[in-house]
Amino acid sequence: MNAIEVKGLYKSYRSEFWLKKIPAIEDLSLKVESGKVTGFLGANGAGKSTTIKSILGLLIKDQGEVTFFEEGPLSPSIKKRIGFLPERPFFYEYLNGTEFLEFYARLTGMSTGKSLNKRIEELLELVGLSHAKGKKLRDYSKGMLQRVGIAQAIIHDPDLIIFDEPMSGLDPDGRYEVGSILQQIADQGKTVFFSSHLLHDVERLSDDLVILKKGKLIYEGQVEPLLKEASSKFVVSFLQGERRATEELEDSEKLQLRLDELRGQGANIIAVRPQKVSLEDAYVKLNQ
Amino acid sequence: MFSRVSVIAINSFKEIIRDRVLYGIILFSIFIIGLSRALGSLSFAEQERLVLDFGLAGVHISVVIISIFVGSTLISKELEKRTIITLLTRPVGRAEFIIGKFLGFLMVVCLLATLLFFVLFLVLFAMDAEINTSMFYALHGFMLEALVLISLTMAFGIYSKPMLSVSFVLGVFLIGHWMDSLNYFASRSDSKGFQQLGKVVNYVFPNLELWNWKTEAVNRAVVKSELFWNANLNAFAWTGLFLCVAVILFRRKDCA
Repeated sequence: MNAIEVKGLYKSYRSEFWLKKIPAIEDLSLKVESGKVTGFLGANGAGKSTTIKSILGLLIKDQGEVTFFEEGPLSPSIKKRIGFLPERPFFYEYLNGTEFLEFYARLTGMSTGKSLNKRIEELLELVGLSHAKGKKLRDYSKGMLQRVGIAQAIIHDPDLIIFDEPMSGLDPDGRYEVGSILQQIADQGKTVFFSSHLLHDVERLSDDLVILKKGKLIYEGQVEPLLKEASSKFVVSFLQGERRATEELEDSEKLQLRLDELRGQGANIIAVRPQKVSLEDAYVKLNQ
Repeated sequence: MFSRVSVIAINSFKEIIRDRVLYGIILFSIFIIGLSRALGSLSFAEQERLVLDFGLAGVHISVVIISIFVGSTLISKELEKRTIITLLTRPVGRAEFIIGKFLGFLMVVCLLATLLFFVLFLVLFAMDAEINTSMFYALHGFMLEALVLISLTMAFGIYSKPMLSVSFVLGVFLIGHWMDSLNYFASRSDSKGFQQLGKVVNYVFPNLELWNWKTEAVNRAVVKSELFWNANLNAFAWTGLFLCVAVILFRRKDCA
């Protein structure tokens, strides 16, 4: 089942009202499968945030359809099943941690009482903010805001959680912590759709990928095939006489030629393995 | 729906109540009311009239200042600080958001007007002055004016910057209070164009003098029931219209 299905999405902007509209997203169609973690990649200005905000109805799309859970477009009942953390966590700074979470819980239709208080306590524990629950958000650090933002996104136990750059601007510890929370959410079988330009984190956490370039889709699918597709190089290890050597070959054709050559020379071939590429390599190759 | 509107209204109320600007306005108003007592003591006769006139003007000015100046930042702050982004991804309609913000702010204005009126009441009580019912009509009139000004400021605030909204609404405020004079001069004018302008202004701008019962309060005159109910209807109609405009504009607004 698809948690999100986008068909033919267009969104353009006008920087000043007398100027011509500039397209930000063009004919974008994508699917986010339920129960999976889908990473959403693209360079700065590729249209990741615009896509997310258009999907969530924050931006008024020019054209296109967005269907959630194969049920229909965004509606109050669909919104109850979605949690969202924006790119930069701007929240009501005059509220404290508990008030903040209670506010979002009540907006989603949760009633106040013991069960909500318990849920708030649990979430503050999960994101490691139990000690700061009475502190005003204006006194929170960026990492703390990000973590309380994650808590508000999941307080109503949504089926689909959308994070826009959840790790941006965080230090390595903060990134690791946010990544762990994200993993815990995914382990509960929730659908997670998150944008990021931190390729290492995306590779570590994602099952599927959606990659945008200048507002257009350039890849949609699992992570592994993309990595395999990008890894055309091979590494061959062999023994020639007493000497052990390793060579890197550009593609399978060159590999076959070299193997024939080595066999002809009486070399003992120890191993042939495809060179492992990182998502970063694959992404760069795809973008070229 | 009501639950979501009330959650937004309460949050909006908390936001303004926790803002220091509000307390500056309250102190200023209390100073004006205190000044009315000092000015009253300078008068040989009609001390009570002077205190009441000056005090009610103080309450009125405060209500107008807070309605326009704080009201102009009500929506723009949410957009600029992007707090609206997480809010609108919840099952909250854009109309619910506008109505919630409006009600929350209205609660603050009503509370402020009542508080200042109470201070004025205490000053009059200390002077052993006669308390008349028209004073309460004057307070009610301030609240009706606040209804209209807040909804208008919110409608302007969807697309314009706070300072621009303040300028627009101050313009409407001045026209609204001078409308009776404008109508008078238009009816006496030989120019057909000016006469037409007078008529157009009547339809386009709210007549804010309709809800001004300060003179009745000072003169201890009775506010006619028909006039009172017409004024209420008029205020609610303008408020409804401005809120509808705000909702229509906001539904077309990108919240990036």
